[in-house]
Amino acid sequence: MTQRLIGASLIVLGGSLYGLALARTLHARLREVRELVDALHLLAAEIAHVRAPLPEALERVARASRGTVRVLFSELGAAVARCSEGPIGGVWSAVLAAWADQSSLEGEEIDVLQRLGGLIGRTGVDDQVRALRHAAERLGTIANRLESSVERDARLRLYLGVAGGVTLAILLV
Amino acid sequence: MRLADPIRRILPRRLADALDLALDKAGSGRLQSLRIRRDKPLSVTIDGTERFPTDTGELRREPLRPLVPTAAEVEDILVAASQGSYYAVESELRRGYLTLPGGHRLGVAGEAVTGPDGIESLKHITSVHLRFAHEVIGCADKVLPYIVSPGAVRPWHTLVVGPPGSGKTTLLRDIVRQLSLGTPQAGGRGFQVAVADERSEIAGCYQGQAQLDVGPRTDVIDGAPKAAAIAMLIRSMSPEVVVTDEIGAPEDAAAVADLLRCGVTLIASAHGTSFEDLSRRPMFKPLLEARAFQCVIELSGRRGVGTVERVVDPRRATGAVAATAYARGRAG
Repeated sequence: MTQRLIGASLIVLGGSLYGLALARTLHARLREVRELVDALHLLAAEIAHVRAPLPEALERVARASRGTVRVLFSELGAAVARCSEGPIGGVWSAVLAAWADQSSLEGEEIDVLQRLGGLIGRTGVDDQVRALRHAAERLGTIANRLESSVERDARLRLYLGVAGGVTLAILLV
Repeated sequence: MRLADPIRRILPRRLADALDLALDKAGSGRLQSLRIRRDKPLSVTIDGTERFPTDTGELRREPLRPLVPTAAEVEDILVAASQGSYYAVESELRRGYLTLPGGHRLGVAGEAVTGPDGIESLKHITSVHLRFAHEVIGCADKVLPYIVSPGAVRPWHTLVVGPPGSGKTTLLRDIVRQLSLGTPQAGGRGFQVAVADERSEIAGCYQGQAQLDVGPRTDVIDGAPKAAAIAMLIRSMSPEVVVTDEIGAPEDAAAVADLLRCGVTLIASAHGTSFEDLSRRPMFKPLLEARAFQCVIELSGRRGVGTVERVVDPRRATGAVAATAYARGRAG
C-alpha cells in the first residue's frame, strides 16, 4: 500500500512538474518577444543614427541584449560578416532556423523575423527603419496578447499537468 | 597579375575565378579598372588598354565569347561591397561611388531616385566601375624642392594643375605623405597636415580610416564639402598645411581666400591645362593676380601620367601670364 501511495505521489509530482515546465515556457516566450522588440528598436536606432554596417550593428545589439536574443543577434552578425556573396536573406533564414530550436518562440514570431530577413540591409535608411519598426510593432502586438493570457494559460497548463498526473495515478495505481 | 583581395571578395565567384585565370595568363601589367555592365561583356583596363576576359579565362582585344555578368551578379556586387547594408552606403551612393578597403573605388550607374534636394538614391544598378587605387611612392621627389625651400618655416602655397587623368591626385598624395613624414628640405621635419578629401581620392578612406599612405602627421576629413571641411580642420586640428583636391567651384573661392589669410599653407589641385589657362578663370584670376600661390605645378599626360610640364613661381613673373618656367621632368 505504501509503495502504491509513493508511486501515485511520484506520478502526480511528475505531472505537476510537467505542467509547471509548460507554464514556464509561456513566460519565457513572452520575455523573449519583449526582448526582441527592444532589440529591433535598438537595431533601428543603430541604422538610423549610426548607419553602422549590418554585422557591426547586429553585434552591438547582441551586446546590449540578454539570453537567447543575444545569441540570435550575435550569430546573425557573425553570419552576415562571413557572407561575401549573394543576398543575406539566405544566411538570415539559416541562422534563424538553427536558433529557433533553442528559443521559446513559436511560428508566429519566427515568421515576423523570417520576413524581416528578406528586407534587412537591402534598402535605404528610411525603409530599413520602417521595416524594423513594423516588425517590432507586430511582435509588440503578440506580446500584448500573450501578456493578457499568460497568467490564465500558465495556470491552466499547471492544473492540466496536475490533473493529468492524478488521472494517470488513478489509472495505474 | 591578380585581383586585390578587397576586390575579389565583392565579386561573384564565377566572375572572380574567370578574371583571376585571365589575369594570371596575361602576365604582368598594371590593372587599372574593371567595368561590369549587366548583360554586357565585362572589360578590364590594363596599362591603359581595354581587354575582354572570356568565360574560359582568356584576355582578348575583342569581346569574343565574353564574360557576361547577369543582373543578379551586378546586384550582388553592391550587396557584398556594402556588407549587406545598402543603407550604410546610401549617402555615398548619392555621389555615385563607394570607397572600398584598400582605397579602391566602386562607381555605379543605374536609375536615379530624385527628390527636392537632387538625387536621393540609386536603384536598379546596371553598371559597376571598379577603379583600383594606385600609389606612386616618391613621385613628388622632383617637385618637393619647389614646395619646401631649405630652412623654410612652412611650405609654399602650391597649386597642381593638369587635365583629368594627368596624375594630380597621385602627386598630391605623395606630397602629403612626404610633408607629413618629413622632407630633407625642411631638415627632416614633418608638418602637421590636414586633408579635406571631399571625394575620398587622396587618402582613400574606408570607414574613416585612410587606406593609402598619407604619412604619420596627417588628419583627414573624408567625404565633406571642401569649404566646410577646411573650416573644421583649421578650427579643430591646428594644421600647418591643408591639402585639398580639385578646387574650382564658386564656394571654394571664399574658403581658399580665408585659408590663405590665416597663415596655413594651402596645397591644392585644379583641372586645367596650364597656369595661363587658370589665370583666365574667374575663380583663379584674382588669386593668381594677388600671387596667393607661390608655386604652380603643371602636369600633363604627354609623356605618360604624371609628366611635369613646368613648375611656375607666379611671384617672379612680371605678369600672371608671363610666368617663369623652372623645371621639366617626370613626377611618376
